[in-house]
Amino acid sequence: MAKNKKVDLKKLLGDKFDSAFKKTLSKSNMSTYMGELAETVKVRTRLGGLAEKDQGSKSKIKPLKPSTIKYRQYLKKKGELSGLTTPKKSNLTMTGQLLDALTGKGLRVAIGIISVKSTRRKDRDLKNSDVAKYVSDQGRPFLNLTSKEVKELAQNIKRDLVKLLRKK
Amino acid sequence: MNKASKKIKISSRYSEDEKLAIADEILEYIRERSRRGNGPGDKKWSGDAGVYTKSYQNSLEFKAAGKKKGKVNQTLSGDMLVEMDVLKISKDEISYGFSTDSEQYGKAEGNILGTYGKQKANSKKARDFLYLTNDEIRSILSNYPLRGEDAKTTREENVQSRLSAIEGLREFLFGKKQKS
Repeated sequence: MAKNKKVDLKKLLGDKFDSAFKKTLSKSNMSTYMGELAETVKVRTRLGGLAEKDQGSKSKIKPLKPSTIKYRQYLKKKGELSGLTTPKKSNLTMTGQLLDALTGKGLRVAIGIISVKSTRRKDRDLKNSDVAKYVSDQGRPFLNLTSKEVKELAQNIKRDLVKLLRKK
Repeated sequence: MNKASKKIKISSRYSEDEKLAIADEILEYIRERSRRGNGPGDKKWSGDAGVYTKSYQNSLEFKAAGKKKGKVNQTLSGDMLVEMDVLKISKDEISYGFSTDSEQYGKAEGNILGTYGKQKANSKKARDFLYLTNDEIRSILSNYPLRGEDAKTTREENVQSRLSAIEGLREFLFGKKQKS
């Protein structure tokens, strides 16, 4: 018996693999994955983290300006600051509307999107998507994914792919 | 072996690919079990380990992460469970968990020993989320039987489905085959 044997798994499983792959990454499943990813991004941002570049490591969101802190202290006194932040915490959460508008959906096989909806804000004549662009341009690119978020997504897809391949 | 790792014995009759698939299945099982809010034996954490401290429940990070009081699931940002890995595969052993240079090591060790940032370990609060009961190990290994009529076929099918999913995804994500 030879000591080594090269096994091309994709070749071995052939059509079965391709169909399971397409099914796992279908538009509808992509919507589920993207929804989960949007939640992960929300939590990471609320905890004060972001990735400076896509698939980079997580770093802290840059601190707030003293004037912003002052304004947030004022909002807190008025009871209008979100309960998910403090006046000094830099986590893209003041009223909570921006991150609440973050959503994910599948577009087609293996392609999905996470985005901030263009819903109008209650406090100002602005859309949440405009605020998202503004904060990103101001050095807080919260929609970049961390390497761990991509890894988690891949782990979840693999888990579902294995389930499907085993069923057949 | 460090405090945030575990070792399980397996038969030396398994091939390298089979050991790799078993190791991956162990990690996946622990991740899913933890996310469900369960610990060893797929049972809910009990006693002090089954509840979050009042101060943690009232913390900003607890609220910001949308955590639920009744679900102890080793997940705040989710980074720790994602980082859990296979540490070593030898002839008849699989080691898994966190290496000491992992940035999640401290968090994992804190859970396992019940220290949570303090010096003193507290076995009542400890959540050894890496531990697998014999039944759980047996259940995972039952997908890779060494005895029985269809043992070889079952093993091959399970190894192929798992490793092809890993390889296929790598190829898909990175466009070429990469070393694990």
